Amino acid sequence: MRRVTRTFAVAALATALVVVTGCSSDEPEEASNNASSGELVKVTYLTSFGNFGRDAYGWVALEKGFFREAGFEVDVQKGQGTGGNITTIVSGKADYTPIDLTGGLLVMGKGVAKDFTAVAAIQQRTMAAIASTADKNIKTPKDLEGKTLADTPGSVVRNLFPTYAQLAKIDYKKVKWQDGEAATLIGTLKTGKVDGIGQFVVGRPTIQAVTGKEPTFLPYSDYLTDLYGNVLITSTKNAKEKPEEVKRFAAALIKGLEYSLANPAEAAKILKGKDPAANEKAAEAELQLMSSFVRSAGSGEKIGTIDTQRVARSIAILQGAGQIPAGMTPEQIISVDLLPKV
Amino acid sequence: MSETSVAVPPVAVADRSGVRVPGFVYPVAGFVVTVFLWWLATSVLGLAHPVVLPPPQDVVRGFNENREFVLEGMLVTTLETLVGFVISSIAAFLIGLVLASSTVLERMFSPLLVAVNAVPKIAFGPMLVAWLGWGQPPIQFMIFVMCFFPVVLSTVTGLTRTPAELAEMARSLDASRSKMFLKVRLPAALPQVFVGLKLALPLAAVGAIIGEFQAGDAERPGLGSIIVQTLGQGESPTAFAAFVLIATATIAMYYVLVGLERLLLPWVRATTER
Repeated sequence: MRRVTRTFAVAALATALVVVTGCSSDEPEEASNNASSGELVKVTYLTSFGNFGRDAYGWVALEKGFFREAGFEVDVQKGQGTGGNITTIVSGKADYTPIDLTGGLLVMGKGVAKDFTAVAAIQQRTMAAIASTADKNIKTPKDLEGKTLADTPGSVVRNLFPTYAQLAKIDYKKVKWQDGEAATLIGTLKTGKVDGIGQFVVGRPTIQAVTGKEPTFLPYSDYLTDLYGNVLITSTKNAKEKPEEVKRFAAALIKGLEYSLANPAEAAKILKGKDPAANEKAAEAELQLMSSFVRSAGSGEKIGTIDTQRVARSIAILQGAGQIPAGMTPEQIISVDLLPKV
Repeated sequence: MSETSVAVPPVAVADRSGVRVPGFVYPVAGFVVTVFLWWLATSVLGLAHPVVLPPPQDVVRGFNENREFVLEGMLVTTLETLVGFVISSIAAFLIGLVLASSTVLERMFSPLLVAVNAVPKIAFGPMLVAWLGWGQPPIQFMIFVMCFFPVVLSTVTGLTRTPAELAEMARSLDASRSKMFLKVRLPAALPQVFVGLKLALPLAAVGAIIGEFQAGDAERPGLGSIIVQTLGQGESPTAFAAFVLIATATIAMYYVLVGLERLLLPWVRATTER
């Protein structure tokens, strides 16, 4: 019986190992610096969250061959938002992803993760906002007092709310927050259980389609003018060891972004082709709305650039609100040498 | 000696008047009643908001408008569930075998298994990608952690509860340890093992969906990925169509398992009475 026990113990351990490691063919392979030899470099790119219109440009860059031209074979996967995406980058499971820069500053400032760096801007202004519907009569920040809002715990909208409230001169303690799941926030707004939700301004067409009502938005960019929206990040290891590769990837992605904004209908169609569950009409409308956030209005700056002075001012705002400790500098989160040039 | 099944496939049942009603009538009737109550609650009485619970006709519309990719998703999730369930069941059975063979091992590791089972598996979700990437590794991992415990428990219970008279009879016939195991303990344990398998199967489906929520492969989306995407777009009817499809697939797999039990353990029905 002891021999039988040992045999079964070995078999059980072997089976458990097979179950856990499984077929590893779905895991992203390590990027190798083989561009010079003509081989494509395999990388994994995450969308910011799911497969909505605001993330179509990654799929466009893939489908139009911009990544391949730049020497990359890209596996595009769905992201899980700033926190989850940062974890995936620093764990080495993905190579590039957009995150909200303010969210990234908060994560880095709190010491949760440090081994990532921003190499290009996707949106020059934050798209974070509080969304509601016309019947709730939330037209100014003051109207938020006494209302109930919902968002995921740890979201940028929620984290920044005290700072927004301070600048907009409202008492943030008079606003109640409920926890919600990102995927069901718009549905929750429709049920009327909350008066508003944390959303990006590009969520307007989806809110209108789901609620059947005219959406209203209080964009954070009205008061937090220096905040960037999404920025492209990679691991600090990648940025240090393969700077030229990082610049080439960012350039290819930005090309996809420019093409998507110039051709929103085609970009939405490409997204739908890649993910049949995506809503093509809403995706096209999102890209049209996103355009004014991607370009820095009036400054003439190229898409993708990051102004470290603005980042320094954003850090000062967050430090003033007590959300990150003193001493943080833009260079800790931005790889200035790798940014697209103005 | 044997345990009765948790559920049996539909068979013809004679009612009091002696009329034999085909077995499938009862579950079909149950389904029709459920759908009727669902329609009543949503479309007539307005007890639930359509976003929270879409009426059945909206769910049908959501399915029809997206039939192709929703059915593809169902195939992906069903295959994942089946593969994961089989691998997890074999692994869990072997773990149960090892624990049942040694009181020392059982005492050492049973509390750990209970602790692992007590952890809410959905808490693993955000870490899945960082641990195992996308696609099958994280999904199979979730299926395993969701469904291994009932099979381990039922295996240990079945193997350590051999009816005394059978064990005594085997010893009186000078049965070797291996013969005792193969001819007495294992057959006596199988009904209990199948109870564990039938508890584990729906949990395997849940594990597949949770895995897809967090780490589904963008190239081959299963129903979990479809649910997240469509809910995020406010398309509750399509999401609910996905819920109905996973439930349907799970019911079908469950009854295949019950049929397998009847095939492999014919003596259970022959020697027991409802």
